[in-house]
Amino acid sequence: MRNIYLLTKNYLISGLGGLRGKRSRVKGTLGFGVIVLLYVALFALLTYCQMLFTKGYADTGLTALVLGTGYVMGIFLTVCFAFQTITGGQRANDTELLLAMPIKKSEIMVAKALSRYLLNLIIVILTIVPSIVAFMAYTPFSGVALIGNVVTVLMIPLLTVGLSYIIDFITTLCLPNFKYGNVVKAIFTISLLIALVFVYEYLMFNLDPIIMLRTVNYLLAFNPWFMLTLIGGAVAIFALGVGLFTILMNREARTYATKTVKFVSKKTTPFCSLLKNETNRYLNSTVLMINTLLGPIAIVAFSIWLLFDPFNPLLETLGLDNNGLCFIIMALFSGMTILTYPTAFSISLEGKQFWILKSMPIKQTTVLSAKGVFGVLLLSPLMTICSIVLECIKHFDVLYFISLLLVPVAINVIVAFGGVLINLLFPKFNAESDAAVIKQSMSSFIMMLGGMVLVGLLGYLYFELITSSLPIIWALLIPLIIIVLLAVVVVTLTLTLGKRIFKRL
Amino acid sequence: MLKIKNFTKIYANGKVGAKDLNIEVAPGDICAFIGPNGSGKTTTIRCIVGTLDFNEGEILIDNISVKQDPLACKKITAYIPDNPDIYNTLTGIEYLNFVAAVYNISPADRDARIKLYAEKWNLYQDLGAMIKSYSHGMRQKLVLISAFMRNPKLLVLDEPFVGLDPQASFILKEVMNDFVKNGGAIFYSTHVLEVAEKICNKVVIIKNGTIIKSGAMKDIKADKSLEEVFLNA
Repeated sequence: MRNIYLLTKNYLISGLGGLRGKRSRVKGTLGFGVIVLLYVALFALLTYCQMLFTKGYADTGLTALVLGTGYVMGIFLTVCFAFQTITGGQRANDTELLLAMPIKKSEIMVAKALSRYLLNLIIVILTIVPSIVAFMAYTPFSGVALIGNVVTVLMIPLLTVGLSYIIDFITTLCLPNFKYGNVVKAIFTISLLIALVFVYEYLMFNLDPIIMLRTVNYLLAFNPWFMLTLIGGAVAIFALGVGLFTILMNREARTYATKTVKFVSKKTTPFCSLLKNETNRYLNSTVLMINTLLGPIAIVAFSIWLLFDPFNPLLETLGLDNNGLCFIIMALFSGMTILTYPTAFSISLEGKQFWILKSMPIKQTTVLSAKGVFGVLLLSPLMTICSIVLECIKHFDVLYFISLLLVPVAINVIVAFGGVLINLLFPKFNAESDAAVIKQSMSSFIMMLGGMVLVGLLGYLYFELITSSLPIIWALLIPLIIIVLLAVVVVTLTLTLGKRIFKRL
Repeated sequence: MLKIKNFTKIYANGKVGAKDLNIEVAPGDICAFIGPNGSGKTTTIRCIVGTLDFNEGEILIDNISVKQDPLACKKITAYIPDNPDIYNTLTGIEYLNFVAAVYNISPADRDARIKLYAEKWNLYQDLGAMIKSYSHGMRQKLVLISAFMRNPKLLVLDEPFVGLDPQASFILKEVMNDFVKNGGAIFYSTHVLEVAEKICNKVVIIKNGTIIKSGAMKDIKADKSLEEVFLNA
């Protein structure tokens, strides 16, 4: 137990230490304070929104149903988050060191699992607790209901972490190990996630409300059988997941190798070579792809789904014509864009290899451009193609189509280049694994939260302008001009300020 | 080829990395840079190759200032760090292709040089494997291949023999000798004084960030061993 405590404490301290980014304690504390502030602000915003939503149901007596939908959404988001910690069998850098110490493998695993549990709990609190707070605000206080909710909130991360370990085991052992086997592993994991989306969509829109109400009431009444099943199931899945991952740890790592030595026959520029290098490294890293391929795959899946006119009833209810669909598509594409930020850790992932870029005769702007352009190329061509296909089928008006084409791309540019700049400000070169860089670095958190704020503000701007008395042409042009200008500013900042920071690193 | 004049590096926390160093390495020289741990060797080397900025002084590579034109200096310099941390997610040949592209080496030259050095160091058959499967010595060899294939004018090495098997070490010494015979210059830090004695014609001994002895190997050694000189410095 002592070893588990020491290891978990070590992981948390090194994780929090990693959030510091730069060595300066003041800057690190400030940066950490910014993260906490953003988290609290987001929590407050979500709670406020949930309170407004629940208020509307308070008089109907269906507040439990609102709580239920909150749980479904929260579980879905937490599972998505947990799935992104799947590594495809990649060992953390500290594993060798720990295995050489008088610590059992099971203790290492439990400590890793516990630290992952705590991280998932942070996400659960953000996504589910606002619904609980709103529910408690509009219903008479019940201690039993509170305990039921607390226990459920504590069990959900156990379930999601266990599931992620089980999927990791399956992807590592059951999928092939060829050169781009990581791509297969990433696509397999993301396909599971997409399947979850459809399950979620079914639960939200098709499930009999009586069933959801009954389930939530069991939770609120602390029904013994329900709670026992929940606790038992969550603990069992968690234990199974940890057990399977321990098996993985014992396994010898297999890496791809070919007998063919392929020389490149054409000369390329340093920029193209850097871009190719970024692409190669991306395609060879399961954990990186799993955390960033959801956006591109979801964009394609959504675009295909949109061809079946799922939003026609909603458009009719809101009194919008076909062009109204553009806003929904923009929101979906922009949402996927802010979830896809590989550049926010591209500098950190250089890690101890950073000396290669620093010692080479390449301009800093070339390095930064290559990283930014990679982030853009991951999404923008796909979004452009999907937008054009949707336009050909749906026939939006010109200005709507231009907005649909340019706004998500501009957001992609902001996220791609902004991610590079944020990572330059908060690099993390000494992480114990790529997963730690991707999930636990300050630049990751800032990018994730900043992206949500950006899209939220843009959505609010569109809403205010469209519902105002302004002609529609201005309601579309103003946000478009603002976001394009912002993209230009971010790129310029990255290549000027970013260049100076890179030089000092 | 390499001129370091009044070079000083003081870190942000006040620690003196190097103070007022003056070093000259001409074409044809192999200069050993020796000193105890934490004496400023790696600091100096990192400033030479442009991965670390410095406070005062001047570093010239082939009469080009590292501060004023770092890109031109990097084009003619090859650096091999003490720890060969390179991209684990690439294969050996992918890494070499990447380096060759950045240094603008023609495909024909690149193919020929990679084959030459990879066969010398017995790594050719492993170039198709992922770097993450390489041992420390294999990574060191790959970095050496990537350095020599560029035909640099100045080679800067930080503990190049660490991790190499005896055959690879022998080959490295031969390659270094051929390199300087063709007009190149080598500046390398090492703790292996016996090798430094045999192959270097110049030596610089540094302690606490300052040079305590510098000059031709035969003059510094006189009738003692380099180890004795170092320990008594």
